[in-house]
Amino acid sequence: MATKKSATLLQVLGELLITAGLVLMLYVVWQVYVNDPIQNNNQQKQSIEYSTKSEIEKKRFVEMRPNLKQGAVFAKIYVPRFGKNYERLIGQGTFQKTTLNVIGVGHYVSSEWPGEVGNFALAAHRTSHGAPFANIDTLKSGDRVWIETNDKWFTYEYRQTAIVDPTQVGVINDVPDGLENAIEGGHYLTMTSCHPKWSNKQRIVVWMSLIQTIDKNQGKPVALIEAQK
Amino acid sequence: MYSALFRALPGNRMLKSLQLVVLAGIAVLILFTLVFPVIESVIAEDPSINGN
Repeated sequence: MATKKSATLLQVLGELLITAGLVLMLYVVWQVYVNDPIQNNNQQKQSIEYSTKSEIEKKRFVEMRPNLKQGAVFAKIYVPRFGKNYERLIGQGTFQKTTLNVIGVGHYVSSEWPGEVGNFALAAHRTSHGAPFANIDTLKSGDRVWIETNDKWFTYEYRQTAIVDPTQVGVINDVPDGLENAIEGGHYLTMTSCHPKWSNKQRIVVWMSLIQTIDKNQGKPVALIEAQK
Repeated sequence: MYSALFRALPGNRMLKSLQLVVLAGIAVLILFTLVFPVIESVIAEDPSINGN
């Protein structure tokens, strides 16, 4: 009788463990095939909304200033290497709930604003929540990234990629640690994300340098239009 | 556990199997729409360098 009871208990325990395993597998399936594509689509749509031609529908980037609240959208990033029409909003701060999980790309509050002397540093998920920087490892020499703000377009060109530990915070310094030939007074863009994919053991860092700044009233940069064709 | 559930379901073997599939579908739907999003918001990775 006791043997039968313990056998039944073992069977229930086994079934519970198998169920737990199945739920974990389903979580991965949901993450990769359900959640990511939905979030990715939402973030792209959100970004496009800021550029609608109708003045009524058009949203305004908030002005860049100190103590901007977390999650405030002040710019947009265009990365043709990630997809011809890839664009994402940039929110202030790197808190997950206010910026990274909902807007996509976040600005390190300790770093500079776009176009300023020093380092304009960004973070985004490599996997999950739309994974805005999923393909950050594909950026290479010659690639350009455009930043659009209230009144300007900034063009940055690829410099270098590095894999670092999460504690190496100097990579977002004004003169980034690890960037070859980095100089005081340079204008840098740093993109950071997790490495490898599905892990946050390390960080992948991509550095870029400012090569052009133009006023918004001069229209969209020609090189960006070309890259999006 | 599952065999007890199977026995408790009404109908013949075919109908029981069908009900089991529907129940599994409902379970997956609940996981996908309610449970996983909540778990995700709690355990999401942090890609920031310094957590600013």
